[in-house]
Amino acid sequence: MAEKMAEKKSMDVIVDSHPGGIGVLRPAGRLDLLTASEVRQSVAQVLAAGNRRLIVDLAGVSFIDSSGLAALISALKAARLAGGDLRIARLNAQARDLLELTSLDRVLRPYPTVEEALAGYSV
Amino acid sequence: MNALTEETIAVPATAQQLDAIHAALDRFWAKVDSTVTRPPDRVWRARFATAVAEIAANIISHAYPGGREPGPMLRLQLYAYPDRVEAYFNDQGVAFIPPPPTEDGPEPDPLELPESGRGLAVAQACLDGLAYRRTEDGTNEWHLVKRLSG
Repeated sequence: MAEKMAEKKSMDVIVDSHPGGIGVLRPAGRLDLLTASEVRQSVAQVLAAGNRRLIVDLAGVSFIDSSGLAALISALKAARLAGGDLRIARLNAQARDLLELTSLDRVLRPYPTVEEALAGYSV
Repeated sequence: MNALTEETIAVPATAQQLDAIHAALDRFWAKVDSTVTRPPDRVWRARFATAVAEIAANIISHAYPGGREPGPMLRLQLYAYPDRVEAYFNDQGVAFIPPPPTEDGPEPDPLELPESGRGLAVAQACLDGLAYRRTEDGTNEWHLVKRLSG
């Protein structure tokens, strides 16, 4: 009997809200074909709750593939459409490598820490 | 030339099986550590793993349209040689149709590129060789090669 995908969460995404409509998302595990939709859903929820300036803390992400990157790009577009922005922070070496390989580091500039990503939003 | 070590798994071609593919890679690296004279470093392994994951995702996404029943399989074989590591994927799905070549012109804004479809280009960039063929018995085979340095 086939498993119902909708009932089984394959990735936990913790969300923290900060003053000024900033939402920090912390996905955990692999960000890939299986889990990309969880991130998209979390971002949609965070935007719907009124947070426009998002930070995705990738410290808990052990591995990312092009589907995971596509979810982050989609999230960036959604945030900008809502009048906000999205930043990514604390990428591991594999994530930074993938970002450079795809030239997406030009549109999704990685921040070394969440604090630095937050600091940019305060300006 | 005989392989120094190898690892093989055959799993249903579903996204849930990506765990099994990463686990097979982990088992393979452990074998590589004890059989290859100069095992590759973490950066090298991460690039190879990225390529393997992208091809696996491509097969899972496209090879078996219209059905998610258990059964359709994906086989991954990993081989280590003194000078290179190779992977073979085999599946019984529909033939792979390469995307049309991108036209020459001003470099597209990466934000405007289609969100899917980067996977094969990523795999290619992580490898020294990536080849697809439709076999005589009507299955798909992907062959990945990455040379060990030094």
